[in-house]
Amino acid sequence: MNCKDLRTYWESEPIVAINRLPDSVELAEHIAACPECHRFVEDWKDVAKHLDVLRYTAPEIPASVDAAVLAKYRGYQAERSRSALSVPLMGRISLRGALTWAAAVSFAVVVAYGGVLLFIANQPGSVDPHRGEQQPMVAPKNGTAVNQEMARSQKPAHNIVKSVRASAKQTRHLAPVAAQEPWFPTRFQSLMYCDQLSCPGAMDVLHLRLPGPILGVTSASARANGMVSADVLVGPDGIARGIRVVE
Amino acid sequence: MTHRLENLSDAKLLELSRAGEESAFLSLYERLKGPIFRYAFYMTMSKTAAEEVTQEVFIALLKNGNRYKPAEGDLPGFAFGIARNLIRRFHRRERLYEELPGDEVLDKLSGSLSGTQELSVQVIRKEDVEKIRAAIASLPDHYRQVIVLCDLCELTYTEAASRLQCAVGTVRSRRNRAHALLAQKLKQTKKTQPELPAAGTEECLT
Repeated sequence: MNCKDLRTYWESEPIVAINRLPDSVELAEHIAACPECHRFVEDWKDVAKHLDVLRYTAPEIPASVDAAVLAKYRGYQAERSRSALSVPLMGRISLRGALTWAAAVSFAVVVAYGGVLLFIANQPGSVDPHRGEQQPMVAPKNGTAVNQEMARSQKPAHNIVKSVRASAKQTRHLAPVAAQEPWFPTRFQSLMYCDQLSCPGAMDVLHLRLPGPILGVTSASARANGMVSADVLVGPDGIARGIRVVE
Repeated sequence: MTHRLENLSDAKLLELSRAGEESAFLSLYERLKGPIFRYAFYMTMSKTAAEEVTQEVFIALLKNGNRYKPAEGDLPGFAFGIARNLIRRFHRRERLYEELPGDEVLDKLSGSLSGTQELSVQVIRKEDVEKIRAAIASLPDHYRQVIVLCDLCELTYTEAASRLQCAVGTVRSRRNRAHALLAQKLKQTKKTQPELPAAGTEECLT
């Protein structure tokens, strides 16, 4: 027997090898003669001895675990049977069916909402009274030209829309802003975004003389002295809302 | 009934268990609980953890039993796979709560203060157990698996290979390497431990 044979023999099935003793004379002779194999066998025995100790000190599985596992099994089966009862109800409505229904209902809601919006937009009386209520808040305080213009605009609600639409068509090339904002005084150019909600309250008109090049005005008067007259529409917060060049 | 269940395969027992037959579940549990508990205990070195893992394995078998495919291996192998995953999760969790290094030193110190001459054989045995536990715990996972399965759970190479889903030759070579490492570690602990004065039982009695 050589060293390789001994290793192969020793490292055979673990159950056999754990408590293996050199049961053959040939094996014992080789172990005695070969210091390396002797050391190998001694190491192996030492490990096996320790593992034996560990194996014999293994705890038994307590009865409480058995009871807990059984309880969990019964709980699991009870839960399954409960869910099995609810399966036929769920089976009637598949996921695809539910999604289809949800999509159809959503589409119907969107169409209905759009229809309502269109209907409201086509009803002249439905929008204009709102504007009619807001209009006095925008009316200027003093009796300027703007006041007069704004005062002229105090008409029945449906007439305001009609007149503004008509004037917008006529003056689109002169004052496009006024066409977009019917409540804004005509011939004033808007300096900021302004609607009835963002610019509430009365406005003042300031008469100013400004350098023509700043305003981009190239009229005859501006060419003469470089200054132009302008009316500036100022809100209650002191911010300029619009401007009108006075020729 | 019991006789009939004893003759059934593990896979059939699982099928019946999942269908709601409690006796089949109990039969399967009796077959597998010992090996799984021992495996979990030796892998975690904690009785509480082993109990927890054992319970979880059987619940997982019930819940995920449909994933078991007999063509890919036997049912104990599948159950050991579940246990292995649960043990890994346990180790990850335990890493957050590592034992303070001072405890062991304090225990040794208190032992030496109470008188080393009163050490009984049982204490020495306990020390041996702790030593080998520490040595096994310090092994890399793949070596530890093989030692636990082959040497502590006393499975054959073929069975261990089935549980670990690797070749028999791999198990054999890993076991040899693990034994060599264990021998080395045990030698090291012997060297680092101080020599205790010989204390026989006669001296303890006086």
